[in-house]
Amino acid sequence: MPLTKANYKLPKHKKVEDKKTKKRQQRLEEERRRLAQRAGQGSFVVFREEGLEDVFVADDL
Amino acid sequence: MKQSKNFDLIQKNTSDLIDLWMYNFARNIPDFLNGNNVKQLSGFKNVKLSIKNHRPKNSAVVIGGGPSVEKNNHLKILSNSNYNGAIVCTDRMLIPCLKNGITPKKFPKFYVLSIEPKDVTVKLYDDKIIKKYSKGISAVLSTCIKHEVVELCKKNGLKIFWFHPLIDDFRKLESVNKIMNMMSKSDKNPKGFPGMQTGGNVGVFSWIFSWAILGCSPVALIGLDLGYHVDTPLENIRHYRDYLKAYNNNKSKAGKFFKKITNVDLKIKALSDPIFDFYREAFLDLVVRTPKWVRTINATEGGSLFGNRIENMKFVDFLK
Repeated sequence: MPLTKANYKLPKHKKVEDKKTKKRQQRLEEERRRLAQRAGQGSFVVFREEGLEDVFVADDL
Repeated sequence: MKQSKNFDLIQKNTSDLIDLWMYNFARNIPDFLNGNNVKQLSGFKNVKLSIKNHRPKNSAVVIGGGPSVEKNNHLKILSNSNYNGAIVCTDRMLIPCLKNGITPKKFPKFYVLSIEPKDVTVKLYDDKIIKKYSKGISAVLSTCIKHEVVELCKKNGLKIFWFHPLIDDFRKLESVNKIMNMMSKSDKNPKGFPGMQTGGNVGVFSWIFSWAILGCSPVALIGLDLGYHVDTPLENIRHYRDYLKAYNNNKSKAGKFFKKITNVDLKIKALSDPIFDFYREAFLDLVVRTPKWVRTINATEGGSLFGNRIENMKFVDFLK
């Protein structure tokens, strides 16, 4: 069988995870999840309206 | 849209403040009708053309009242420095700043900001030292601020600049913001006042003001922790009693609303309550939406703020 990208299996690295790293990883994932959840949605009352997500100063009310 | 339950709850409660906002707004009308517009402080030559391609000439330091400011002696460090950028002071820190030598005499670009509509703001402007330095202080006030605050600012001789806090979709005819602005138009301000995103608290608003009005970058944050020291007993946290009351003194249930956040930049933990968590979420949303020229430096050396577009730095290094 010819060696191609499709059939070549990379050796698996053993992950060494101590408690501290694991916890940190969980925290980071949680942060990412929450950021992704909010993507493009904005945070305060006015941001919930489509088209106003990036408004910091509105000159003509 | 998916948001945390806590986020939705606080957002709703914030909207419920509308009665108080309007009560204050009505009482402030005689003062702001011919008042100064916050836009008079603009650091942009032509806002529409230059906000995206702005080249900032000045930096700013935003001073919040979080525990890190005292713990890290940041007021003294600033006071002893030769910093020549803008001092953007939250109302809570005005008196402590002046008493620690951070005065408009030494730092001529000196601003104090207020957005809180409740009574708590009044005492923050009630001290003899404010009158002593009044000439160099610009007070940036929401049109919905407690009227007694306006009276105190006038009594102390502060120069007041007005803006509307953004509270709803001003594109709609029935918008409260739109009606507020219609009532604000005058010969001096034929277009009324601009509406500004506040982020829900004066610390975040001070950061927005620094770059979106003054055109400053980088903007360094001190005392803007949006959290407590991790070892703070829950009983000492402002909102804990409210949660205890809501859950019939069940400490276990009430305690679930208070969490420890690991600040990955500083490798420390901070304790967050639901209110700070809401503000923190809002800030993280806002900071990624700023123009590219805006640099946000977290120089608190404590607290819960970290993430995309937030640089972490020691305050002394920022001042170098």
